[in-house]
Amino acid sequence: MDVAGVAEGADVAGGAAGPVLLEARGLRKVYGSGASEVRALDGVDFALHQGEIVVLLGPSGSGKSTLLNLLGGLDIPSGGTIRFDDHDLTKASGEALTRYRRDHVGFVFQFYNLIPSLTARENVALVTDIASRPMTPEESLAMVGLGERLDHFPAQLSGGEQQRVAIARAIAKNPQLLLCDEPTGALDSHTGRLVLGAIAEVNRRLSTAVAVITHNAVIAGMGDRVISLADGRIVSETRNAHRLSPLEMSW
Amino acid sequence: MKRPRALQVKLARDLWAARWQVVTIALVIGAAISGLLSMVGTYRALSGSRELYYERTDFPDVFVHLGRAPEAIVARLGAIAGVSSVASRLTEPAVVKVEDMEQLATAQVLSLPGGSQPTLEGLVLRSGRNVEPGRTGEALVLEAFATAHGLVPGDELRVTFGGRQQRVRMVGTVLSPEFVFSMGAGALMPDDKRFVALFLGRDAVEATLGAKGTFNDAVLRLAPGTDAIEVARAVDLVLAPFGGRGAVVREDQPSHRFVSDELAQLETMAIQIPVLFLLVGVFLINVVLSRQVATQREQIAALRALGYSAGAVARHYLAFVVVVAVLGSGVAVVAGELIGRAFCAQYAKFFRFPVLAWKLDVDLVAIGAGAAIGVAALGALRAVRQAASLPPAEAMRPPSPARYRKGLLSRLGLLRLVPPTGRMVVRELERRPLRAAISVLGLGASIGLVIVGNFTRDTIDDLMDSQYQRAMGSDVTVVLTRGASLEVLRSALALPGVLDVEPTAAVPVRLHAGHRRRDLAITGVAADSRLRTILDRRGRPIVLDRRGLTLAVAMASRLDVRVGDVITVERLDDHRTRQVEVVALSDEMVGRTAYMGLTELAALWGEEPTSHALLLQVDPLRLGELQRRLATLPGVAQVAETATFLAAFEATTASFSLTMTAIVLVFGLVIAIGVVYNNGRVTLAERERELATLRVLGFSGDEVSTVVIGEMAAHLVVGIPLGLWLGTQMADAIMGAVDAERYRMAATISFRTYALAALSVVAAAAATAMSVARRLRTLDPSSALKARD
Repeated sequence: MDVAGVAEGADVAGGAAGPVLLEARGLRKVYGSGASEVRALDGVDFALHQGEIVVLLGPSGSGKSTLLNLLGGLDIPSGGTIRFDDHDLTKASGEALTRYRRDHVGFVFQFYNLIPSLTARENVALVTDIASRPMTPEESLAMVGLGERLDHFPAQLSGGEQQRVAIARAIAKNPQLLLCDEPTGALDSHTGRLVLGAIAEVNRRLSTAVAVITHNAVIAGMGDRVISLADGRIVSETRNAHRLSPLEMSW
Repeated sequence: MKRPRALQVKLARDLWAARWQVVTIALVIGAAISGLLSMVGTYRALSGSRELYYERTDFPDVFVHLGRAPEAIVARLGAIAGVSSVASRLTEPAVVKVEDMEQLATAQVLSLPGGSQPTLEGLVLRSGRNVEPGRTGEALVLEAFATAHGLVPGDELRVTFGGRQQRVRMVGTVLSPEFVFSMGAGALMPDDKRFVALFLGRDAVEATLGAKGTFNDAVLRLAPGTDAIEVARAVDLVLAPFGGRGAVVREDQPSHRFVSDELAQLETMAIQIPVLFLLVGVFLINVVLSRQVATQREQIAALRALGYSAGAVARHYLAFVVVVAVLGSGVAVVAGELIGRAFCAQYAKFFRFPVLAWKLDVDLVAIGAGAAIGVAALGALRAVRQAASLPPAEAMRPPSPARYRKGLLSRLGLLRLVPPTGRMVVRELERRPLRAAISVLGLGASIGLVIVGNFTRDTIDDLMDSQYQRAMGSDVTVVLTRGASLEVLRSALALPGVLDVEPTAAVPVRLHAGHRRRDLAITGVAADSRLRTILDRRGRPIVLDRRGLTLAVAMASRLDVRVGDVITVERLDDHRTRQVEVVALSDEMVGRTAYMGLTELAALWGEEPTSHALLLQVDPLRLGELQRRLATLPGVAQVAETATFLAAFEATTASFSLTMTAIVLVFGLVIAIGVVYNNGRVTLAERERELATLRVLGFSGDEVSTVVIGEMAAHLVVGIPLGLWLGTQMADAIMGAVDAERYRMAATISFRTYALAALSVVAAAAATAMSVARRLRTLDPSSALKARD
C-alpha cells in the first residue's frame, strides 16, 4: 500500500531522530453507523520518534484531530493498533489510558482549556499534583516566559499568554509526548509565533516528541517531518532539510 | 503548611464563585435538617420526659370511677388476673376561691394514697411538705395553679366540695402524671389559673363526704404484658353493682391522651416538613450542579486529558455538593438547637413534667448530617455521572446547540400572538418540563408551608365562632353538686345579674352498637333551648324535640352507626338498658358527645326531669357580683365562664402557634428564595450568550429581563394554586393526627391565610427575580460575539 510505504520509508529515513516512541498501524475511526457512518480515519500508519517535531497538516474534517485524540489516549480507535513503548493502547482499559495521559502525554488545545477559577500557577499545579516526576509550576512557567505572571487568572491574561500557560501545564510533567491541537488557531500571527517558539524550545530542551496539528501550512516549516491528511488518510509526507525557527515564519 | 492541591483550590474557587447559590441551597437543606432536629428532638424530649415521669411515679394502667363501694371490694379488683396493685381513693369535683381571682376555680379533690397515713405515691413533691396524718385542714396543690396565683405553702384556700365549704391550708405543691395538663373534666385546653387538683388526706375527704370505709375511684397497676382492656372489662364487671362508670385504660386517660395527641401531631410534622424541604434540596442541587457541569465541559475534558481519572472528576463535583450539605448541616445544628429550645420552652408551659430538658442527641445530628449529604448526593447523581462519563475527546468540542422544538402551544399557533421574548419563555418551559415542574413544586411547597404555619389560628377562630359564639348562648355554666329538680331554676333566676336560665342534665352511659361500645355522658338540653344550640355539619341548628339520640359525628363513626340506626344505651350507675334511635348527627369539637331533649332523657328512664348544671345568661355588669354569690353556695360544684374560657383557650393556642408560625414562615420563604434564585442564576448562566445576543440585536435590558422573569412568573402562576392545595392537604393531615374522639377540629384555612401565603411567596420570589435580573442590565452585549473560552 502506497501510504504505508511512505510511512515506513520515513521510519527508515529518520536517522536524525531517536528511537520510535509511538507507533500506529492501520488506524481506523468510524463515527455513527449505516447511512450516517463517517470514516474519520481510514487506515493510517504513523510513527513518532523521540525528540522530533511532526506537523500534521490538513483541512478541517481531514481526521487530524481524531488522530491526535487517538494518539493521546482520549479516544479508542475502531480498528488498528497504537503502541507506546511496549504498551498496546488499543487494548488498554480506561484507567490505563488515564495513567498514560497522566504520566506521558502533554496536551495543548486550540482554546487553551484553562480552568478559569485557577491562576496560571494553579493551572500548572493541576498536572504537577498528579504526575510522577514533574518539574515545579514555576520552572515550567519560566520556560514559556511567564515567570512573572504566576498569580494571574486566565481572564487577566492575553490569548497568547493563556496558550503559553497551557503549554507550561502540558510540559510540567516532563512528558515524552506533546500533542498540540491548533495551538495558534485562536491567536494572531505574532502571538502565534511566540507560542510556537515556546513549543520548539520545549522540544529542544527536553527532547520531547511533539505532534502539532494545524491547517496553517506555514507552520509546517518548524517540523522535522510534515504529514498531510485528507479524508481520513495520509496523502503525503515530506521531510524538512532543516527546521525553521518559528520566529522566521510569517503568515 | 502543605500547599492545597490545585483541584482543591478549584473547588474552593468554584464554591466561592457560586456562593449565593451555595448559601441559598445550604439554607434550604439547613431548614430541612433543623426542622428534623428540632421536631424529632422535641418529640424525644417530650416522650422521654413522660417515660421517666411515669416510671418515677409508677403511673397506673387502668383508671375507674364509680358511684361508691365498700373498701372490701378493692381486694376483688386486686384479684383480677394481671393486676399487680390497686389503690382506692375518694375524689370529688370542687370549686376553689383564691384571693387574687374573683371567679371560682374548678377543682378536683383527690384523697392521697396510704389511708390515714398519707403518702406521696404517684406524685412529685415540688415544694413544702406532705399532709400530716390526722390533720384534716391541709392540702397539696398542683404546682401550676400555685405558680399562676403566686401561692406559697402556708397560704389558705376556700374549697367547696361535697356540699360543704372549708378552709384548707396549702402545705406543699406537687406534680401529678394524671395532670400533665391542668385540665378539668370536659375541658378542651389546660388552664393553670382556673383548674386545680387538690390532694387531701383520705380521712379529711371521708369526713367531708361522709364516706368512711368506702371509695369512689381506683387506679390499677398491671403486671407487664397484661392486656389492659381485658382488665378494664373485668373491673367493669366487679364494679357494675356499685355504679362503675366504665374503666379507662391509660391510652384514654385525658392527660395521657392529650400528650399523645400532641406527640402524634409533632411526629406528623417532623416527617412532613423536612421531607418536603429535602425534596426541594434535591431539585436545587440537581439543577445547579448540572449547570455547573455543563458550563465546565471543556474544563472537565482538560482534566481528563491531563490524566485525571473519571473517578477523580466525579469526586471533585461530589465534593462540591458535600460542602453544601455540610454547610447546611452546620446551619441545621445551630438553628435546630435554637428552635428545639424554643419548642421545648413552649411545651414546658403546658406539659407539667418534673423535667423537660431539650437535648440535641449526637445520633440525631449524625442522622441529620447523613440525610443532608445523602440528599445532596442524590441531587448530584445525574450531574456527577455526566461529568464522569463525558468522553474526553468529545468534550473538546463545544456542545451542540440545545435542542428546542415546537411544543404544543406553538403547534396550535397560539404563539403567533406572543412576542419573540415570550416565545423564548414558552419554548424553554416546553423544552425542560421536568425542571419547570419541580420548580413549580418547590414554590408550591413554600406556599404550603406558610399555610401550615398559619392555619391553626384560623381553625381556632372558626371553632370559637361556630362552637362557642354561635352554640353557647350562655355566659356562665354552673355545675351542681348533685341533680336537682327544675325548681332550682326559679332560685337561679333570683341570683344577682341572671337574665335567663336553662337546665341541662348529664347521664353517664355506655353506648353499644354491635360489638362496639363507648362510654360518655348524654347531655339533656331543653328542646326549645335559647342558651345552647346544637349544630349539624352544615351549621344548621338541630331541634331536640324528637325522642332519640343526637350523636357527635365522630362518635357515630366510631360506633359505625347512621341516622335511623337503633343502639343500646346502658346507664353506668344502675345498668338499666334502653333501645334508642339515632335521630341526628351534630358537629362537635368534642367527639365524645351525645344529646337528648331534657324531658325525653328523663322519660327514657321513667324519671322526672332533673338538672345537673345550669346555663345562665348574665348581665355583664353584674358578673362579679354573681361570681361572689355563687362562691358562697354549697350546692355549686363548678362555675365556668364562657368568655374566660375562650380567652384562656385563645391565649394558650395563640402563644404556641405564634412560635410555629414565625418559624414555618421563615422556612417557607427560604424555600421560595432558594428556588427562584437558583433557577434564575442557572437560566442566566445557560442563556447568557443568547440574552447578550438579544442585546446586540437591539433589545433593551428590560426587554431581555422579561425572558428570565417571565419564566419565573410562569412557574409562580402554576405554583400558587398548587401551593394552596398542598397547604390544605398538609393542614388536614396534621389535624387528622389528633384523635377525632377527643376533639375534632377540621382544618380551617381563612382567605387571609391563603392570601398571606401566596403574597409572601410572590413577594420573596419577585424580589429574588429582580436581583437576578439586575445582572442582565449589566450584561456586556459584546460577550455574545466573543469566542467561547
